[in-house]
Amino acid sequence: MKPILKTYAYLKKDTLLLVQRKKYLYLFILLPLIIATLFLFALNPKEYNINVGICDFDQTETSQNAFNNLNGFNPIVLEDLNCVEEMQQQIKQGKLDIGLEIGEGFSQNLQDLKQSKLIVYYDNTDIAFSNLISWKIDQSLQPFKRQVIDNLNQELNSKVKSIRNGVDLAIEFTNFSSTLQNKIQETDNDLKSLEEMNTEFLTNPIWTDKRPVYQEDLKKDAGIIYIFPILAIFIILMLASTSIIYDKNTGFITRVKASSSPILYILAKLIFFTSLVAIQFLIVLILFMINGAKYALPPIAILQLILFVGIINTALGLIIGLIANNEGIAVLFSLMISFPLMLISGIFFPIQALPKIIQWISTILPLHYQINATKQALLFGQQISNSWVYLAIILFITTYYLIRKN
Amino acid sequence: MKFFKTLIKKYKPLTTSNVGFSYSNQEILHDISISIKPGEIVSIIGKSGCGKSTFLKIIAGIISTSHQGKIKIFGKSKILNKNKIGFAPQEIAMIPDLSILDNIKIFSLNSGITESKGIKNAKKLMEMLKLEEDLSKLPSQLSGGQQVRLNIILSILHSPEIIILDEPFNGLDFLNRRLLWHFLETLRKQGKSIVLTSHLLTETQEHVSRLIIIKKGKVFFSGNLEKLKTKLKINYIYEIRFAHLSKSNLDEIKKYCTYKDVKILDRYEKYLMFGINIERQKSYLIKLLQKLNLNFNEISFREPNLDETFLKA
Repeated sequence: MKPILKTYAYLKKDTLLLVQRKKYLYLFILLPLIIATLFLFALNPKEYNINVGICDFDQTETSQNAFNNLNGFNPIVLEDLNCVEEMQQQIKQGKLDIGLEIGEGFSQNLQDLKQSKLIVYYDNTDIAFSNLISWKIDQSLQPFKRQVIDNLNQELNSKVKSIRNGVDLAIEFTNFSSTLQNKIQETDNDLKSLEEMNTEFLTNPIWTDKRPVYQEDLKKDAGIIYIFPILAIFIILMLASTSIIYDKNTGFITRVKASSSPILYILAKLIFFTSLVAIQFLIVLILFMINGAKYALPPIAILQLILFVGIINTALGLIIGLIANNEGIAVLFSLMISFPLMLISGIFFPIQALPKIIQWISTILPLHYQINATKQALLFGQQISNSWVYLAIILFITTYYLIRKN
Repeated sequence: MKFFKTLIKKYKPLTTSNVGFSYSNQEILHDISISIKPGEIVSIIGKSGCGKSTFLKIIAGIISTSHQGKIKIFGKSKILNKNKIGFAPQEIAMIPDLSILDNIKIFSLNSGITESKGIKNAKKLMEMLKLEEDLSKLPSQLSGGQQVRLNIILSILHSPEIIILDEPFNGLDFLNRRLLWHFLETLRKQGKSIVLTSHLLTETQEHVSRLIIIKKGKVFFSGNLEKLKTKLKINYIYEIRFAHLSKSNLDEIKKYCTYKDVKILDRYEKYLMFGINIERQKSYLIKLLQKLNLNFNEISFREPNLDETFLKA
């Protein structure tokens, strides 16, 4: 009986503590809820709303049918003279998800029972999306392809019927040599057309040629634009939040507040953790470069990027640490922020496949901007926008306020 | 430089005016106005939860938001003169995973002095507080009492003019408490102003220049023990143990005490402690007890210590 009572006591204590520590309880419930929901959305996308730019050089009913039949896509027809260039530009700017070029003669080829080609332009640095698009386009074209194959079957039946008639006539009018000769000539032509028919056309009447808008080998190099911000957010949130809790528990913050301004303390934390981010960045960069990746490395853009990622993540970590009561809560909080951010960052699941609301949430979260900033700086050697500084100032003031209030 | 030193001397080291603080709609402190002179040891006393530590934290800048009133350090805002204060919190505040030496270095820099100066000062203070330990040790390798002393040392590495100590005697045995009092006495002689809180009232009365009693968030009293006795009208303590004390007899005694302004300071079973203002009240009290046919033994009749006087406050 005593062991049961004791075990019951220990169980009761942990249950009471879980209920008592509300933050643990909320996180305990919220974390699986958020992550499982995101996974479910990502794995079973219900609605696609992919903006596809169309350059229709064929301008026929068949070509219009081709893009109107793209199930789950939102076709936007571009009528610019430099349509393809404009489309590629818009993909790079993120205004279009993909582009579709329907070449001249698309429908004529189909009529002539020749394979027709669609050129698909996509952002090959958007890893998860570029993987999705390869099967998505083909899958979406299936109904249209089916229709083309049905037409082909009808055409074949009619040709075979015509040959049968010709052959029948040849048997019937063997005496009239001139008529027989003409008919045999027709039959010969039909047979030639059947012979010339590309067998591949039977299985794949429309061939989609997928063309990346950036250099082909950029996809491998693009890995860093996800790996670095994700690593930084994961590690820095945990380290910064637990470090401030350590300082709270050991009374260090008390001494800081007693002898100097918390501003210096926050600045020191920002410098320290941003330095860690810089080291992380170098490690990841060197690994990728050893693996053959090539990056534009403009010093100012790289410095901006490290400051951006370092300062924002550190400030977020400090805020978590100031809100959380202990290291356990801080780690859970950090997980709750970084893990869902990872899921909707576009590395594992295409953002375009997520519901609109989650797409919107992903665009207001810092990781989205950190990934874009890394992309801009490393892949294209461009300086990043300094608008993050405003967010950094807001986070700094919040941290300062929380330390004073703590 | 001399001009500034003279100017500083004009101002009291610490002045607070109308300091108030509320937490969760509950008023903790209300209109606390005090001033501390140079070379003065002031003890702030009061019941647990009366706001003593909160007041010290406000002075030290730990609670820096949402308090009312002004705090001046040598006539200037405390933000501008933070380096003149050394605050030792009640809880041990040091970095447990770093050596004592590293702690000294970090807290020296935190106090705005160089590492070498901090180490030099620390060694001097450690010698005074008989804490001559290997500096490469971790704080956790020290005993509880040694940690308390190191906690104080780390707070005053920069030789501040004002030293604020929140319950500095917690966790110290009698010998170490004596040692710490002597240490504070030495600092006082050097002209430092010391403000502390302590629950060891009888020990405190021997060493402090002034007592400040906080009651219900307000300054109830400020002065020395004699002044407090006069204010509370307790100049003698009379302790009695009864052979038997019925409830009706006790009620009679209580009634008498209320009427004659005699305070029952403590009661446990058949024991009673009275706080008496003038000596002849004792004989009146005895007459009452005889009238009630009570059999009792007199334990003591003496001057009260601060603990007993505080019972009345």
